Amino acid sequence: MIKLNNVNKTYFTDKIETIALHNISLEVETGEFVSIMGPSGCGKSTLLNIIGLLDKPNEGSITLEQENVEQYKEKQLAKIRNEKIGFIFQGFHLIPELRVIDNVELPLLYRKISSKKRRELALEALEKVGLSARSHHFPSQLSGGQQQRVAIARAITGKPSLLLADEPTGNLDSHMGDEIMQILEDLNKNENTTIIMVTHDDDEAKRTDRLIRVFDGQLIH
Amino acid sequence: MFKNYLIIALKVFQKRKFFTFINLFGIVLTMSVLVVGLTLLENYIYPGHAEKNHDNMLSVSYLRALNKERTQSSSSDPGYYFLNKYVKPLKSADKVSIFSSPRMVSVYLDGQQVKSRMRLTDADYFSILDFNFKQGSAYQQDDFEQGRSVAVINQHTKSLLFNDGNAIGEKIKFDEKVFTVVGVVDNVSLLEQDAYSDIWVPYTTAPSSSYKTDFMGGWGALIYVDSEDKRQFIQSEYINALKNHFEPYASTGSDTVYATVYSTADTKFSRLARDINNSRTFDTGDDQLLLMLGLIAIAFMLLPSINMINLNVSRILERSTEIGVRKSFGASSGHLVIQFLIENILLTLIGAAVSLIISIGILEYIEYLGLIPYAELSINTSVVVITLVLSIFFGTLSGIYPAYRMSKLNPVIALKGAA
Repeated sequence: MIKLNNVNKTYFTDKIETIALHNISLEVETGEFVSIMGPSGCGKSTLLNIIGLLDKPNEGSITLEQENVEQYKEKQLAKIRNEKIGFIFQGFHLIPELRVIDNVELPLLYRKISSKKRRELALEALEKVGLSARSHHFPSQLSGGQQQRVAIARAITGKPSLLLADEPTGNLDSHMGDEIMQILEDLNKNENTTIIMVTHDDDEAKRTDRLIRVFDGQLIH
Repeated sequence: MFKNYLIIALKVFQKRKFFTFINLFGIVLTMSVLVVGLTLLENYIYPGHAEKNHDNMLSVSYLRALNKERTQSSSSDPGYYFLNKYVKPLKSADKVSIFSSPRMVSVYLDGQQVKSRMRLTDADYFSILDFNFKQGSAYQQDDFEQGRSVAVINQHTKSLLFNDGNAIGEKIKFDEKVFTVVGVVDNVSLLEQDAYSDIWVPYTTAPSSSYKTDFMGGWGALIYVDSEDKRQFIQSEYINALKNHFEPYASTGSDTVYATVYSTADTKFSRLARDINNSRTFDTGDDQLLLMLGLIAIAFMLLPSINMINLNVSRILERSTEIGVRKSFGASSGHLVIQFLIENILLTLIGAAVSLIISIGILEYIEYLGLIPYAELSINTSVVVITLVLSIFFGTLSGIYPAYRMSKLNPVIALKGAA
């Protein structure tokens, strides 16, 4: 599904050089549910951003579904993100001005499909997270857990093969966090969606197929 | 996608009320001035009343004469003598009318005195210009040739003198002479310079025939052609006549002998161009006027554009999370540029719509104050279209750079809201 080979990422500021990732090689199979753990600032999010093609490594190669994306231009990367990857953020990042349904439709705006089809797919995704009744609400009218479910619906509405979740339960209480985990597990089992999730919670990590630990920008085996 | 962009745009405007107000204020102020200016220009260049056949007309309203040594020159509107000798005989013209500039007269009726503008004309004047007769008709060629004391008055003068009654056959007195009213026409705006007046009478009724020897001053001519194609031909014919066949003219009352003259047969636009450019040759400077109008419009729009660019760039931070989310889900830079441009253009279009409404008010106020006598200033379709096109240009101009900056944000940094 996704393969990282000797990936290095260093950030440069005026005089400081910060190594975020060092020689990361990693392979995730299709249908796997992988969790990434590590202390704050160890490079978990950077790793997730590189897997999600939001950030580029300084060295190393990334292969996504047999495609080497190393030399891809911004427009090509945007297309892959749109079709193959779904993102779930800790802070939900819903657009407050848009209704739930319009938020969920967002990834489909960048595909050549009719508005009717967009609506159908968005409602289908909302149904999967149990929020079709709230489709015309605004994000501010929903609880944190509901907002994260909307964010999941947005991530899956384009039927991506890879879901990247950056601490999806980080802003939620344990009950709501459990609901979110349940949805992710269902997506993984029922739809064979590959999921890579950054978490701080050992219990959540235990519910995934594999745990990857990151420390000081390196994988710990 | 478009609907989504519009919703976002409208919500952003609602949410950022002060920002929207500041931006709209700049746009509305600029666009209102432009709309009012454009309407006045449009009403002048494309008159809709007596001069509505302007495409078939050319006007001779300027004359500059120089002595042989080119040390002395005079310029003003032409005199009757000049027009009769060099414009009237133009072979390609279908009709030529010579008429005086309007001057103020005191009109008396039953002890009542009214100040009005009066113009001396020939009979062809009424066949070239398309006056709307409310009562009676124009004086005829026979009236003109016989020097009959007949007059056409406008609706305003009729209301002052005869209220709502019939004015035809009534007598009015001015310049120590009694005239019989034969026609009443709709008021004609000052913007229709050759038609504008309150009273028109045959110039054969003038108390003295001294005007016949006037080389300069006080008169104008209209040339009518039955097809627009002939206009350019006439213009060349007239210039050639002045260049090749002008006979030196000894000015009365001075030693000056005019050896060279400059005058042109103008369209409405070229007449305006000459007035504004103060052109003193055969070239009225149409291109310069067009360039100048374009530059004024751009310079005028540049200020609020800079204001909008500034505000938009400073708002990148506010929108960075949204930009990050959109990029994460597959928006390319192109998608984002289009989104923010649509937002900006929508704002300028709203500004343009508000400006059009405000401009209607300003134009009505100008009419109410009588700043341009008898003007009926309405915003027509072409002004609306030009305003909308300008606002789209304006929206693009002020939106493209901030949109480009926003689209180039690194998604990771944008998602942290730290752009």
